[in-house]
Amino acid sequence: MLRITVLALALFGVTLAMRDQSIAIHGKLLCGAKPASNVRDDLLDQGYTDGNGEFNLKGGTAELTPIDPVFKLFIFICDDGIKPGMRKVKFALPKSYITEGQVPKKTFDIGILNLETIFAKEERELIVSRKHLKMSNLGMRRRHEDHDDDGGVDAKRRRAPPGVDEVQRKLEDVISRVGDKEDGASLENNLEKLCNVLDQYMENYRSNIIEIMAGCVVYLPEKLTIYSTVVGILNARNFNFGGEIVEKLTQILQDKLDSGDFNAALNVILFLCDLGNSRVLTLNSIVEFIESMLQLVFEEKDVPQVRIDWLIYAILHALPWIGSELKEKKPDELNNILEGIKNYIQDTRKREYLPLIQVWCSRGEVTVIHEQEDYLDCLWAQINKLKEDNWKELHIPRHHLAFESVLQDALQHNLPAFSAPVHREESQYPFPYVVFRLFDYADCPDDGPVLPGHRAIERFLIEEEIRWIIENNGRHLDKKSCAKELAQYAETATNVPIAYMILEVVLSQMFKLPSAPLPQIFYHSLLLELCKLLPKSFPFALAQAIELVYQRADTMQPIIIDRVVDWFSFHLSNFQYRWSWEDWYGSLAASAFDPKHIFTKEIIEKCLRLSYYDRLKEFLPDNFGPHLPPLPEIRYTFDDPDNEYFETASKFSQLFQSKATDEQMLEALKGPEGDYERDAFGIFFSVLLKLGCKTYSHVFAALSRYHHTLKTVSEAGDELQLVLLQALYACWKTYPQTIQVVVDKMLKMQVLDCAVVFSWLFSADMKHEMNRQWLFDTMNTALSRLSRHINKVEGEYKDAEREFNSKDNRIRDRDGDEQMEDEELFAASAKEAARERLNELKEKHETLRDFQKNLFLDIFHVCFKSVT
Amino acid sequence: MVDQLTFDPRNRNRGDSISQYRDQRYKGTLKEQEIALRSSATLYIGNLSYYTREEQVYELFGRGGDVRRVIMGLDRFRKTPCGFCFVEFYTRMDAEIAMEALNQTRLDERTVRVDWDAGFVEGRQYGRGKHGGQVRDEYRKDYDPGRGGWNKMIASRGGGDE
Repeated sequence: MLRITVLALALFGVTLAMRDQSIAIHGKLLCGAKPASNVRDDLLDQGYTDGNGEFNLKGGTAELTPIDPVFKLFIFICDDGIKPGMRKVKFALPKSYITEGQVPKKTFDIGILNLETIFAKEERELIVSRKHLKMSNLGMRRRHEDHDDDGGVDAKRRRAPPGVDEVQRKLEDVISRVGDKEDGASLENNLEKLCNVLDQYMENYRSNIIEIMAGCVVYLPEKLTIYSTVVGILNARNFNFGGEIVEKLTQILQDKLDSGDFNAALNVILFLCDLGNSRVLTLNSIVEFIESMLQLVFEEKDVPQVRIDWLIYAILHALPWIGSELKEKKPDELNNILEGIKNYIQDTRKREYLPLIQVWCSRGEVTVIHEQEDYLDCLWAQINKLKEDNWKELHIPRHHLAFESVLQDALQHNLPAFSAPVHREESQYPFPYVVFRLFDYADCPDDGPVLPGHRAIERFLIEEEIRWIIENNGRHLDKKSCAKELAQYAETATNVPIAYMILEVVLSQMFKLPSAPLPQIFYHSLLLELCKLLPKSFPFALAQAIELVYQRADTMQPIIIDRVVDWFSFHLSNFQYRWSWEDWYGSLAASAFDPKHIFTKEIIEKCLRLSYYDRLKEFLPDNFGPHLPPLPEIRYTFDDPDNEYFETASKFSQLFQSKATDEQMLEALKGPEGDYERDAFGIFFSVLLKLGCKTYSHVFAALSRYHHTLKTVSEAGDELQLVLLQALYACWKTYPQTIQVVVDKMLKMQVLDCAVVFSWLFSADMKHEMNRQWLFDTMNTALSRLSRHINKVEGEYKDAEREFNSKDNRIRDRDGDEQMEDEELFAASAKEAARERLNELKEKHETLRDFQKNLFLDIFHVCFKSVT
Repeated sequence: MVDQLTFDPRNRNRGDSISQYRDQRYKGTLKEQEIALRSSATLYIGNLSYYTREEQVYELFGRGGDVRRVIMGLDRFRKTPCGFCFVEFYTRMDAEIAMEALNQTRLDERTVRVDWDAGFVEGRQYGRGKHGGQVRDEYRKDYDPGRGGWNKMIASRGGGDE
């Protein structure tokens, strides 16, 4: 049954030469056998049908180019007689009906349309008021963007009728906050209240509600069953709404898979599966959905394992939510699914990468306490345990149960089969990881709740919720709200030692190999916030964690030790360096290559960098005295008149003081043969460092003042670059931070070459420093700066390619049109410029790539040499 | 990093990371200043101890990303550190990471205040207070050993300072 029809005739043109054009359209709309009625005449290009369902529209515009007429049909339908929805259908009209002049000379007869037809490309749209409708629909497809400087958002806000923003904000608020704080009322009451509020706005704000709801599904997965229950209730009251939200979510799922946002895609899948519990989707179609995912696992050939792994992971991840229901109603299908997964996991899957990503690894006789299991293997074991337990888990809040009476009679929708975007060479998938464990139930306080076992599905579910909160807040780098949400979560999770679990998850993210999902410093400052918000439990768990890490340093990957050192030194600097240092005293006497010794020594070193030498002496126990790092100061010996290079050094010192030019400096560096002397160059550089020893700004100023000198000499040979590095080391070996900073600067200034730096770092001369973090930090910094630079160039290259291709199309588009000649010429020359830029960037990118490849080979080579 | 297409509930109540402070001596229109603040890769760091050295700032802020340079705030007359600095990063993204993570953390046991800066211009490294250091050191009421003891007005009335 049909209520109101809104028709719109929209005209679009490209502004090139002004002329009047117009078109008229006639037709009749039927709803079943009855004419579609309820009429009000309105605007020139907008109208309603008359009592017989007939309409006439005409439109004209002064445009410079041919117009694109579009006939839009907006239909308010009554699905159940209470809640009208809105359908939108578009028809493109033949251009031959457009005539010159303001009054149309021809009328296009669209004939009789029965609105019971379901159109292939039907859209749904919220229309707030007629004014809004006209503006937004006409504005939507304007080919030329307005170049007003207040941007799109403001423009939209201005156009919307007053109050829309307010309602939108209110809806955002009530939907995203449901279930957060129960103000005395039960959650069930709150859900019911929310549904009533949404009902009220369903008529005019339907698409807004769908948008907001979908956003909550994607970004608030920790409240997944709250939203699935709300959607269930709304679907029971209004069948179409359920269908629309499922449609929206399947669309989002495709978009997220396309853009490689697998976290978001997974959340949508979990939600869709849980809609089986709240009776929005048929169990049949959910089974088919899962089966279609599994089918890809066995059908797709020659795709990376990580792609298939993700599909398996997504299915396994959804089973805690829907497993019990499947077990009861589709036991055979469930068994088939599990059988399929088992085949893949046990027979097909490879795990060679595992030792590379493990945080701990057994070394000789020292074995690891916790097995660092592959994530899929672990989840598979947990799911098997869940199956043994008859799919009964104790964690997921099943809010839908309270609404069983409402939900049981609801009409259900079918979920379309799963389809994944095809694999392309550049597609990226989530890396595999190991399940990081630090604590055992015995590590947690005896009088507190018990830590769920390694194989318990509850452990997995809670860890996932914690991870969701961290990652979704981490997207905004918002440590404050992240800590706040985690603290709120901790309040509700009273049946587990939650501080230990939160800490373990934060550390698991921080220690993820090859790299953590978020910047390390984000986790470091998040842990500080958590210590403040959970003062009773968190600092204790944290101290215990550090102690365990220290005890197990022997089996820890060196790079993870480095991460712990960076984190804990920062942490201590925020807590007055108070720590039971005495406990680590034993490690100081151990051999210099003992992991515990390295651990303690490097933490002291980094604490020194964040504070100062006297402070270090203050907070470390007295017996640490002999083990303190050397006083950080420059070692400069050329000012001693007995030094054989005293004369040379004085000469350079004078040259610096008299502000000698690069030419004078270069002259002074030349030997009798006219080539640059290594000794002189080393002394020149030592003098420069001595003059700039006060602060880094001083050194940098000196470096940039004599950039030309440095670059010219160091380009004369690798051995001259080596001289720079040796002089730097001789001056600053007591303070590696300076070495790191100066090397980094000179790499950026292209005075030093990466390969020379690496071969120096791993040379026999430096063997005694091989246990030091600064050496590896220097290398890693150089490598990551290089890959950042390459990524940047790659981005520019891709942009240029797009730009070039778009120019190509634009020229082709214009073929056949009457064009002015010079415009074509202009376009051609622009295209030529774009081509040149593209080629330039392409070459630069390739050169850098080759450089990087060779550099890696060099590193392998020098590492290999230093090991053998 | 943040996808604009899907509504993100956590975006709703997020405050602006740019504080209320506006440099009154900024050369340019208010609008230009806003744009500069929103695109700059420079941070202002406040509430430092006078004794904090440049290397410490490099160490701490280098953990946020790639630091281009650090400009220590100096007393206009004495040319000694007076408790603030600017940190310039190579990219906005790195500056954002440092800003979000390091604001309100401690350096030399003092809680540092991190804020966006429209970009360093020569001259801005000097304190703008009458005494040569920062204006805020002329108004605070507490005794702060890290920042020269009593505030400069009290101290100079005591006859010790200028």
